[in-house]
Amino acid sequence: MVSTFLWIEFAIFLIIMIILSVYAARKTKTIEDFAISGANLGPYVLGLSFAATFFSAATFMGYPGYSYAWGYSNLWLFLSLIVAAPLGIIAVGKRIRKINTSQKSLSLPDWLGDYYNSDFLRVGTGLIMLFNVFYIASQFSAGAQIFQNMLGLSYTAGLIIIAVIVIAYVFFGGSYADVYTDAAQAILMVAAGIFVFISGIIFFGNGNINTAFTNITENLASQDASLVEIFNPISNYYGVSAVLGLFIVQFAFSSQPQLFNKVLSLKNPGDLRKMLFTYIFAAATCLLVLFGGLYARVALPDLDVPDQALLEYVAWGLPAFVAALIGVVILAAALSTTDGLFVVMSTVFANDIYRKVLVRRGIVKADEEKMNRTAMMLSRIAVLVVGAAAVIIVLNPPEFIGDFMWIGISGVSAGTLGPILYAVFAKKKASPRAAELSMIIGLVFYLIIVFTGIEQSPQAAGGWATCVGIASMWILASIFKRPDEGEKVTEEEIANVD
Amino acid sequence: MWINPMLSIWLYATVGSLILCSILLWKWYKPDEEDEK
Repeated sequence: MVSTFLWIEFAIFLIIMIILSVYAARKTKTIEDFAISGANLGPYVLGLSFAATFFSAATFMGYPGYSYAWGYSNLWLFLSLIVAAPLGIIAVGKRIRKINTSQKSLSLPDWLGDYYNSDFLRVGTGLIMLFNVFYIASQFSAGAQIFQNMLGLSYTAGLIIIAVIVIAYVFFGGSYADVYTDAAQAILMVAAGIFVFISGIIFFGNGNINTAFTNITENLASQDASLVEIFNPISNYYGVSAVLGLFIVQFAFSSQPQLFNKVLSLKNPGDLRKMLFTYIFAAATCLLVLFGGLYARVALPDLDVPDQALLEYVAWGLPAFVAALIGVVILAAALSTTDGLFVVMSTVFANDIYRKVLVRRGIVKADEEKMNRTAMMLSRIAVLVVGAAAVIIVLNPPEFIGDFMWIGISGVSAGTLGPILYAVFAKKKASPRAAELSMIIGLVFYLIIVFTGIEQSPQAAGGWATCVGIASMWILASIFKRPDEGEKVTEEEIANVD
Repeated sequence: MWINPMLSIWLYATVGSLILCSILLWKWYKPDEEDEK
C-alpha cells in the first residue's frame, strides 16, 4: 500500500518540479544565471531555499539513523545545527555580502581566488570542492534506500533512478530550479519535522510531552543505558572534544559556497535579516525529525539498518499515504541539496577553472560569446561526470550515510575555513601565500588523521583539521607580509575580469 | 532538569540559541545600515 502511494505522490511531486524546472530553464541563459539566479529573489523564498540546501536526505535518514543507533547523545548534532550553524551564518553573512557586492564572485573558489588574488587558491579550492562528491553520494544512497524500502526495488536500481532524476533535474534547471523548488521542498520538510515530532508524543505519551519522554527514556535505558547518556562512547560524539569538533565544523559549514550564492541572490540587502529569520525557523522545525530515530528505537528496537529507522517508524505508526509522503519529503530533500551541490561543482569547472584561469591567462583563446557558451557546456558535462562518480562511490550502501556526508563537509571545511575566516574577521588582507599554505595544511592534516585512523569520528576529524587550518592561517598571515600595492592590483584585476 | 540530563541540555540550549540568534539578528542586521551601502 505504501508503495502505491509513494509512486503516486512522487509522480505528482516530480510533475510540479518539472514545471518549475522548465520555467527556470527558460530564464537560464548565462553561467551567472545558472549559478546565482541573477540576484533578484525575495528573502522568504531564499530563507526557505537556504534551509533546504542545508538539510538533506542525510538529515532525514542519516541523522535519525544516528539517533536510532546512539540515542540521546545524537541531540548534540541537533544542537550544533541550531546553535553553531546559525551563529556562523550571522557572523559571516553580512560581511561576505558586502565584499561580494564589489567582487561579484560566483562561488567559493572564485571568491577566495579574487579576494586573495591567487589562481592557486582558486584552483585548489575548486579541487577541494570535489569532496562534495561524497555529500552527493550520501544523498543518492538515501534516495536509493527509499526506493528499496518503500517500493521493493533493488538498491542498485534505486540508485540509478535517483541519480537520473537528480541529474536530469539539475541539467535543465540550474539555480533557478534550485531556489524555487528548494523553497517548496523546505515547506514539506518543515511539515514533516513537526509531524514526526508530534507523532511520538501521541504514540508514547497520549499527547502529553512529559509522559512521552519519560516513557521513551525508560524504554531506551532498559535497552542500553548508554542510549540516554550525554556522551555515548560508541557514537561519533564520544566526548567533549568530538562535540566541539561538531560545533566547529557546523559553524564553518555556514560559509559553504552554495549558501553564499543564496545571499548573493537577495534583491535588497536589507532583507538579509528576514531571510535568516526564515532560515532559523525552518531549521529548528526540520531538525525535529531527529526524534524519529529515537521513536523508532522504542517502537522497533531490532532494525538491521539504522539509516532506515525513520522509514520503518512511519510505516509502523502512520497511515500509508502519510508514510509515503514522508518518503517523498526525503526524496525532495535529496533533490534540493544535491542540485545545489551540482551547481556549485559545475561552477568550479566552468567558471573558476575555465573562465577565470584558463581564459584569463590566455591558456585558452576565446571571445566573450564563445567563452560563455563553452562555460555553459562545461557546467553541463561536470554535472554528468560528478553524478557518475557519486553513483560509483555508493554502489554498496555505507553503514551510516551521515558519515559519508560528513566526509564532504569536513574536507571542504578543513581546506577553506582558514582563508575564509581570515578574510571575514581580520582587519587587514593576508598574503596569498599564507592563504595557499593554510589551505594545504588544513587539508593534508585532515587526510592524515582520517586515513591513518587517528580519529574515527568524521565530525571530530573535521573539527580538528578545521582548527589546524584556521590556526595556521593566522600564524602564516603574520609571517608573510602582503605588499602594500597588492590591494590595488586585486581591484584592478577584478575590474578587468568583470 | 527536564526528565533526563541530555534532554535538558537539548531543551535549554535550543531555546537559548533561538533567543540569542534573534537578538543578534536584530542588533547586527539593521536594514537601514545595510541599505546605506
